[in-house]
Amino acid sequence: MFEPQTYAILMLVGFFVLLMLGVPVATTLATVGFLFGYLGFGDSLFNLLPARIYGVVAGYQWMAIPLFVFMGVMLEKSRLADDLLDVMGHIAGGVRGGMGVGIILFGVLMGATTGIVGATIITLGLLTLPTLIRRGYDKSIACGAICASGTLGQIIPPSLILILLSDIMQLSVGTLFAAAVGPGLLLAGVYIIFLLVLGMLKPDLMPPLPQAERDAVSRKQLWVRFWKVVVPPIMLVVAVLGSIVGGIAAPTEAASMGAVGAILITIGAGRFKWQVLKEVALETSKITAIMMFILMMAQVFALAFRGLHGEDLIVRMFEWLPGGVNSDIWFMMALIFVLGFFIEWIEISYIAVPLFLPVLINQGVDPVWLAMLITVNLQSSFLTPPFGWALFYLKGVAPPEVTIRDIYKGVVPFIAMQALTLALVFFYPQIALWLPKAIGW
Amino acid sequence: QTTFNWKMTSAYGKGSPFYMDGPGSATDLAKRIREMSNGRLNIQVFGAGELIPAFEGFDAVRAGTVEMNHANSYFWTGKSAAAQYFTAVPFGLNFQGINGWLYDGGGQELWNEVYAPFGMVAMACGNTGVQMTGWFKKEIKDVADLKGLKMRIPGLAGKVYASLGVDVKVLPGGEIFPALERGVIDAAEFVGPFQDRRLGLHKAAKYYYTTGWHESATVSELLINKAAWDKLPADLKAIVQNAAAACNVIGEAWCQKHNSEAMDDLIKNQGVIARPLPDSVIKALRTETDKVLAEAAAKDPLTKKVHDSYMAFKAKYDRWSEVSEEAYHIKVRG
Amino acid sequence: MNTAAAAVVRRIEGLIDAVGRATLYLCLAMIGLVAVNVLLRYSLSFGSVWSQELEWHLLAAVILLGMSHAIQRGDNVRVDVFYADFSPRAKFVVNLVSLGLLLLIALLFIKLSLGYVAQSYAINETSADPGGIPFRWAVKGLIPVGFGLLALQTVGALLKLVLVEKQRLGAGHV
Ligand code: NA
Ligand code: NA
Repeated sequence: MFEPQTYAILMLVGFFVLLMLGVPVATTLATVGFLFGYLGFGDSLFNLLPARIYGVVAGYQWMAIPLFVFMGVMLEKSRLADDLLDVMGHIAGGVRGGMGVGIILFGVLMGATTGIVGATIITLGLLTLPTLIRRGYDKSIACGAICASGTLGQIIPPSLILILLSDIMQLSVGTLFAAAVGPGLLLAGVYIIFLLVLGMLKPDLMPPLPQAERDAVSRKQLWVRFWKVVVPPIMLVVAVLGSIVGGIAAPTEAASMGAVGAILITIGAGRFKWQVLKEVALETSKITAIMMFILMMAQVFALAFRGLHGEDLIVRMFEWLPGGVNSDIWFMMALIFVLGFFIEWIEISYIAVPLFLPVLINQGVDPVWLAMLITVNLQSSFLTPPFGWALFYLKGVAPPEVTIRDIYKGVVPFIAMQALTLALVFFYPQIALWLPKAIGW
Repeated sequence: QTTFNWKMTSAYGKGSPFYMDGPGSATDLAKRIREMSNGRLNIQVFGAGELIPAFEGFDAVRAGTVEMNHANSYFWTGKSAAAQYFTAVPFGLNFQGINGWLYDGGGQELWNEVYAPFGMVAMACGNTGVQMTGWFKKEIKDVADLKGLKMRIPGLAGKVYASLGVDVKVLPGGEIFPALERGVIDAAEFVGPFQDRRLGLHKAAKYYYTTGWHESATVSELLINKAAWDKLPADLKAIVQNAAAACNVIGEAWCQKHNSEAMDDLIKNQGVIARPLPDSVIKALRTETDKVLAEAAAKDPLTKKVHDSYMAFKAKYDRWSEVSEEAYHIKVRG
Repeated sequence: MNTAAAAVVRRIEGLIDAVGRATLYLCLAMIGLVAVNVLLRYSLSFGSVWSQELEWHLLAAVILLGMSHAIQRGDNVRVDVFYADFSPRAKFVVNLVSLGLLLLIALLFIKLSLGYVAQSYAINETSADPGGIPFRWAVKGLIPVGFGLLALQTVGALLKLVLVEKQRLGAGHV
């Protein structure tokens, strides 16, 4: 018999091995959780599992997932958005990477309406990935841009991360929302600059639309198509955002306005059929169910990690610290980043934040600034292989020719840019702190 | 000597002031018990979400998977309607009164009677003192202003408000601020000045109505699995009981200090307008509360038994406090 | 024997498919309900606690009744970095083991959740909110039902996997 912590390490190893062998993610999570949990602490703690499962399926905050997914699938099935990106490509003209920039901008807009990463990625994955590939975009770049764009929703308010951190760190949600605007936009800006620069350096990865094709569409035709295909999805985003800002709906339920709007737009375009509605609803329930299924199976893993005192592993590492505020912060950041490879952000927040918070606050660290560093850092956990929600969401809706390897490859530069943004927020705290002060939140 | 290693879950997140952090909190309780027992009873404390979601403590303790849970009994009204009375009922007893009922007026025995079918015992382990009515974007002048008012208010008080035409909205804690700020709701109830200020509610609404007619002294509950409890030797039981009673007072004291400071700050520095609800509104709320409570008591004999005990104690206590505390506050204190 | 197994597979797939398709109506009802709740509150200041609770009750049903269908349709995500290059035989083994594990997991979930639901049913657990939906045990009861469907679906998938593999090997010998 080993110490519980040894089982915790073995569990992480087992997780890697099964995942790499191609055992489905959900099955892997539950298998290693049950196996090493039973070995380490027996069955008592697993009696708590139904409570956690109930917590997942009865979680009000997840309501936004089906609502956004419905909106995205409706746009896709109604074939209104078929040439959304083509039009964006026409507008971008000869600029390489123009459609990629469009995706990031769409992610900013979607991010302003939801705090659910999966919703944005699934919407973008359904709407844009096939077109991008058909247009000769490098598969990896396309996937990377979509995943990164989707995670913007977790930093641009409203955001589940900010809500959870406000709870754990006992800060005002309003302050955190305001503070996150700067870093969120900065992150989006960094992505855009990267795509434009990459487009100049390696034009083949992100070709603009062929000159002949662009010439074939007159300015007037383009304008008409712009109204027909670009404006409707943007209007949906505005409807959702507008219902939050206008005080009609709370953040979670606001997406229902987008869902209704998607139906109305489809009707307006004369493409509405009961059959379409039913197909969209079926697709929505399938995507929602599978996302939540993975989340349920992740509960086994999380419970076992707790039961095996996985958090003690981290406490022990903490003891090696040389000391000093900055080294403490960077150690915390490194830890959150590394944990992001294995476990999901909710568990990371529960484990890492209470561990470091008292030490750092005692040294006079601004808690709001610290929360922003954590938030930017947590974006990476969605992208870092092998366990990254963004990767799985996209794989779930991507065309079959896109492999998980393409996605892994694609997110690497974006993870590097998140690190860059983290460093910028570290060295220039005002990026986060000026807005809450300016508007008095 | 046997060492006991127990787990305690909480309905509140790690780091929540009063409930999970600071004097009289769950963490403090565990520390006191460990020190008094010289390490013979070790309680590992878990915040909401760490082992189980916030409101799953009842089932976990019932099943014996965790030995203790720290929360408020009114979260369990879906499991036993009588549980409401051991936290707070609208227009109920204040801190001194509820302690009088629980410790000496038969309340503690009834509490254990209510939980006996579930194999659990419970005791008071903290108190927020009187809470606040809540934050309103507009002034409330009379009962008519409540009609169509969109308010975040959970539980029994929600039902009372609803009967006066309030549109009751269920919202998780994290969404209260954005919803109130943007006007999705016109009013929201949370806890008291200190906690409300942390949530930033004063930045979303200016009228802070006082006082907590619906929660006049909210009891924190230490819930214990009976089988585990029975295994403790007498001295450890006494240690748990005394630590809980200590936290009951110490936690309330913490609230008094922090709420008075926070309230000063809200009024002086944040432009908050604090005032009691108009008499006409209080009267209407009281009438509806009596109806709602009578209705609940009529449904279930055990609830009726608890209700009757509580109200009988309250009647006596009201007469006494009228000539003691109340007279002091109104006539003597100055 | 193969035809009998094939018939079982068809039966199971039919059932999972029917339940999965039914969730589309639950999904539509849920989306409509959220929108109606928002609009009624905004326009008429009208709302009720139970209709707000019904939103996530429906979501729970969509998730638990729909997951087996989604998995049957091959939506169970995997990391295919190495898997994509495996031989058919190795892929068969990985899938066989994965399904076996999933069956065990589903059965464990059923076993663990039955007590949880029974506790709730025994006391006729209701919403903790006086204006809420009374049948709290029913929504909890969806957990063992959902994982029961998953167990059934997995049995079907296992049978199918073995049948297909046999056919493949048979074809290889011809
Ligand atoms: Na967001
Ligand atoms: Na990751």
